[in-house]
Amino acid sequence: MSTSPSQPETETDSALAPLFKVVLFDDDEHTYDYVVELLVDCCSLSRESAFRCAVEVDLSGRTTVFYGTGEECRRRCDRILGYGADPRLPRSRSSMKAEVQGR
Amino acid sequence: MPDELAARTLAYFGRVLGRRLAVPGDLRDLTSHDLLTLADRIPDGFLPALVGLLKGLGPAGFEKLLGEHEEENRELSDRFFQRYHALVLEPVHVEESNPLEIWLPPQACQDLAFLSSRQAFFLRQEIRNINEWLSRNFQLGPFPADAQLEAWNALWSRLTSA
Repeated sequence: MSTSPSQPETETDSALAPLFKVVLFDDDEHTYDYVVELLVDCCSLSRESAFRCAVEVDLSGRTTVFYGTGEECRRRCDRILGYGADPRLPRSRSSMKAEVQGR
Repeated sequence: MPDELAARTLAYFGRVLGRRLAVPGDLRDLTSHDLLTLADRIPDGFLPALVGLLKGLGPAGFEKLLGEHEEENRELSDRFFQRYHALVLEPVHVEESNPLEIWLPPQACQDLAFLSSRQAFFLRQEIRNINEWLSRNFQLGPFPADAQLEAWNALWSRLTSA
């Protein structure tokens, strides 16, 4: 299942479109607080759900944070990638890594 | 976690649970219910150590903390996440403060590489917090509503022209 990011999505397409997901990857430059704030802001998760995702990415190295159409997933993923460094950690200099994957 | 500390922590966890735990991999052999029971019995201060020991076990560790979707584990799982949440996240009153005052010390702004890495954070702040911070530390502003980028550009110009 693969769709080019530049491929247009029509209404008919979206009804039949395969679902996509946004996967967030772990690193040691971001705190739990940052991940929760990020997921509440960028993926509209509740704080409780965001916290569980934060624990999962910490333990498993990755977590799925959003499901949707390719376009919506790319929009959410871009927000994550543009969220910037974790202000709580002086050594943090960039956003977390994330990518859109076919479900 | 250093090996010796991990071994001592596991020995303590084993006593709490009434079974032998020698290496982090032994946690993998616990059922979800046993792992959550262990988490429930240890003091809050040991929860980060437990989570630390579960790292490296792959997704299985997280699945066990979720209760492996068994109804009988839900209460224990919810209690674990509530306790761990309260332990590792900032208290709410910190969020109600001006984040710039807490996380962007003005002296650190002399390091332009550091400052540039904080641009997205700065632009997310409410303009009243930006105005308060810029006025106190750089005698800049005030800026109107939704003028975060203008405020950022003014700060950047001030620092690069100094």
